[in-house]
Amino acid sequence: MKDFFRKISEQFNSSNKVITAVLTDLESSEIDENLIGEMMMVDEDGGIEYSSEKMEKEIRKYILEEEMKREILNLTNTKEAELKSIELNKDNKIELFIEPVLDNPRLLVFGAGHIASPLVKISSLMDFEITVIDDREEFLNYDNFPSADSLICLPYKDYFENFKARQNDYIVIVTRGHQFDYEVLKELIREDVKYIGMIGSSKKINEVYTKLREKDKVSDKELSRVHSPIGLKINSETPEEIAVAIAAELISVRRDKSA
Amino acid sequence: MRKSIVEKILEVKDDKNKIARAFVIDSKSSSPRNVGNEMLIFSDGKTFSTIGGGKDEKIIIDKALQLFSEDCRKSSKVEISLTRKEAAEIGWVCGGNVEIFIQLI
Repeated sequence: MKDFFRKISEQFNSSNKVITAVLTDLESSEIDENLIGEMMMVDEDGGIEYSSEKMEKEIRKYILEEEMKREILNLTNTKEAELKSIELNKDNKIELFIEPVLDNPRLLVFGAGHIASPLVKISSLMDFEITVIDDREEFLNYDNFPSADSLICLPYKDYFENFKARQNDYIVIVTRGHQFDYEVLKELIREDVKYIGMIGSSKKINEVYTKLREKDKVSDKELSRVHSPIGLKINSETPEEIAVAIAAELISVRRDKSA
Repeated sequence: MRKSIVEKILEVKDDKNKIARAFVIDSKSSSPRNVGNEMLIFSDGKTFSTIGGGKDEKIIIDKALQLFSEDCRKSSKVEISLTRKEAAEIGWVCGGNVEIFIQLI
C-alpha cells in the first residue's frame, strides 16, 4: 500500500491531475471481501494503477479497464468527492469512493495592512495554509500575524519571480495602493486558481481594470472572475467586519458544490 | 484526498506502524460534516487532521484501534447517527447521519 501512495505522490507532484477510488463495499458472492479498502488511481493521461495485484486481477475479471477509467474519471468535471455504485454484472456490485487528490488550500494575502491582520486571524481557524506578502517589514511580522504560516517580505515583483500558482489557491489582494493591486492582479489574472478577490472602491477597481485591459490585453471575461468589491454583502464597516465578509466569501467559494 | 495526507502516510508508514485513514463517504440531513473530510489514526492512538472533532471522532479512533488489533485487519464502514437530543448533549445544533469509512493502510 505504501508503494501505491508513493505513486500517487509522484503523479501529483509532476502536476498531473490524479483521481483515486477506494473500494468501500461489495455486493458479491464471488469477489473476495478482503479487497475492501483497496484502491485504484487514474491520472490525467488515463493511466490506471491498482493498490495490489489481487485488486487488479479481480477488477479486470469483470470490467474493461477503459470502462473502469471512464467511471472514475467522470468525476473530473465536478471536482467533488463521490460515492458511486457500479454494477459489474447482475450478481456483482461494487461501491467506490472516488475523489481527486488536492493541494492543501493556500490563502495568499497580498498586503499586510489593517484588513489583512484580522483576515489572517479568522482564516487560520479554517484550515488554510496562510502566507502574507508585503515589502514593509514594520507591518509584516509575527506580532501582527501570529497565526500566519509564512510571511514573505519582498516587493511583489520579486515575489512573482519564483511564484507557482496552484489550483487550490485563494488570493486576497489588499495592498496599500492601486498601483500595487495592479501589479499583483496582472501576475495572477490568468492563473488557474480557486479564488481571486481585490479590495477597493468601484473607482479604484475601474482604474486597475482599465489599465489591465489597455496595457495587458486582459479580457472582460478574464476580469469577471475577480471578486470585487471583495467579500459577501453583510454591511460591514470596520476592518474586522470586512475581514469577516472576506472570510465568508472564501467559505462560500470553497464549499460551492456547483462550481 | 489531501496532499498533506498522502505525504503524512509516506512519512510515517513502515512495516511496524499501522495507519488508518478515516473519511466521510456520506452525510445526510443536517450533519455538519462534509463528504471527503479525512483524518489519519496511528497505532498509538495519535491522529493527524480531523473530521470534525467531538464524541464521534472518538468513536472512529476507537474503532480504528480495534481494527488494528484484530487478526483479519479489514477496512470497515462505520455509521454514526445522532438524534437531535444526543447531538445537543455534545454541543451540536442538529442531529444527522454520517457514514465513515476506515481504510487500513
